[in-house]
Amino acid sequence: MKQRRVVITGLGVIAANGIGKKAFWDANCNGVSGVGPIKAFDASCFRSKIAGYVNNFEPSKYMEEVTASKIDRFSQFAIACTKMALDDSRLPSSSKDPYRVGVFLGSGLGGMFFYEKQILAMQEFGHSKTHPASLLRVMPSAPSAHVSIEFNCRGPNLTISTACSSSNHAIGQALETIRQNKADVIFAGGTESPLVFYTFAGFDALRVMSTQACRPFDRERDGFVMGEGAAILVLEELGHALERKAKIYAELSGYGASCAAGHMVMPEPKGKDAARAMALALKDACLKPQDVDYINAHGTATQANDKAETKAIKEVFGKNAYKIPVSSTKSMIGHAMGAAGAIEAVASCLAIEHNVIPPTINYHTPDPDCDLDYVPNKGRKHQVDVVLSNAFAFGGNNASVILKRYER
Amino acid sequence: MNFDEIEKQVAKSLENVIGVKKGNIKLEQRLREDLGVDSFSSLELFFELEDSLGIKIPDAEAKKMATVRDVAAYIHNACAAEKR
Repeated sequence: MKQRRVVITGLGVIAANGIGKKAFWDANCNGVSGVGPIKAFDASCFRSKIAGYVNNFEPSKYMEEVTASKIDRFSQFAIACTKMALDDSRLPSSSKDPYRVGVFLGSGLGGMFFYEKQILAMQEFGHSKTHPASLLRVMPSAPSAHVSIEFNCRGPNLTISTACSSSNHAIGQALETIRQNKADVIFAGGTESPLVFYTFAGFDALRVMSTQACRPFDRERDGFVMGEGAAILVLEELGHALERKAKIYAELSGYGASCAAGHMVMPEPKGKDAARAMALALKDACLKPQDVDYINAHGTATQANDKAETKAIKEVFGKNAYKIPVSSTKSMIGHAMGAAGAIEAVASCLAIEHNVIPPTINYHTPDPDCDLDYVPNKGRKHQVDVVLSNAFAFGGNNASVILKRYER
Repeated sequence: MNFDEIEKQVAKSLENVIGVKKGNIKLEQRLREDLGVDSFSSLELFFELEDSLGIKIPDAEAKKMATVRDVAAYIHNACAAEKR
């Protein structure tokens, strides 16, 4: 039997440099950064004092105020992005069988805003200040549950939590689920709102955050910049999408996963396991390395990641690696952790739609260890038919996905 | 706090918990049947009231309250008893 194909028919995105696909894409093409000084708490004690905040997010534009008031910010992001993606897909509620519609989301940390607030209240006032819905707001699967309730999605509902690769796995697992004929439509993506004192303290203690700016692949890079945001992609079985004459952004054609099984923080230095995830994704998509037109890198701007990822790309693409544009959109929005892969999948879809590759900004000093074409500082007009998008994570966890221009 | 003020606070908490439009809560309304306050939202309601008014409402007492008036009356009496 022929394998069921999966296409992307709707996009919703919230990132530090833009809310909604148009604002986000304009900012990405023009190298507009959403990174700025931390205002929400006193960061003077930390090495890093910058973050990719989402400003001007108004939950009431996307949901009832009473709903917004009872859920953590990362759930608000998820509902808002699903609303945007659903509107964008023009999927009429009458055409979808709710039992065949799923929700697959990634979140690395859970509801950190409410979590921190609750712990502090308990410490100050005792257990009676624990809100009855406390755990329901904090649990990593809260957003996927809320999305199902808001949009009546009664099919498979899953949350994947593998730190910074969470949403690439969510997208990949959604692909498998539709292929296996267990759903026809899945809202897939990720959400994260980690910008609280506790998360900052944790990453500060690890000394992995930048003191200056997110500068992926630059010799002077000194760590990642924490970000927040979310993205949802409407994944739809091809026949289902064609029948309703949906606009197709791209085909989701491959997914590869691997684990380095070596170290909690450090990537495997030669990038062998990251390379394996990329190669598996290509194989799954029945594509060859030379078919890839653009790589949306994990590119966190830590010394170790960017060096290992560069090696991994060379391992998979050989000499051809030097010909493929590679960029890190994290340079503009920071690292939205469990949402990063989904945000980058949206950027990849839009790169295919517009034939433009978003740049790696803040790039000034070449690094002999990172010697590929990183699309420095300026977006580039380029034919983009196939994108490989990487997401790697603590625990040596790797997930790559392939998005491809739809052809019959 | 007089009864009117308490009634306003109960209505406000109900608005926050179940999303009823402002000004639509009436004293005679039954929590469960008319307003759809289920066992979970009643936990949220009494948490909000305890938090905003700084009082304790024992579970056994909360369970006896059927209408908005019952809630307001209990709190009114509890506040009065505290003053004495």
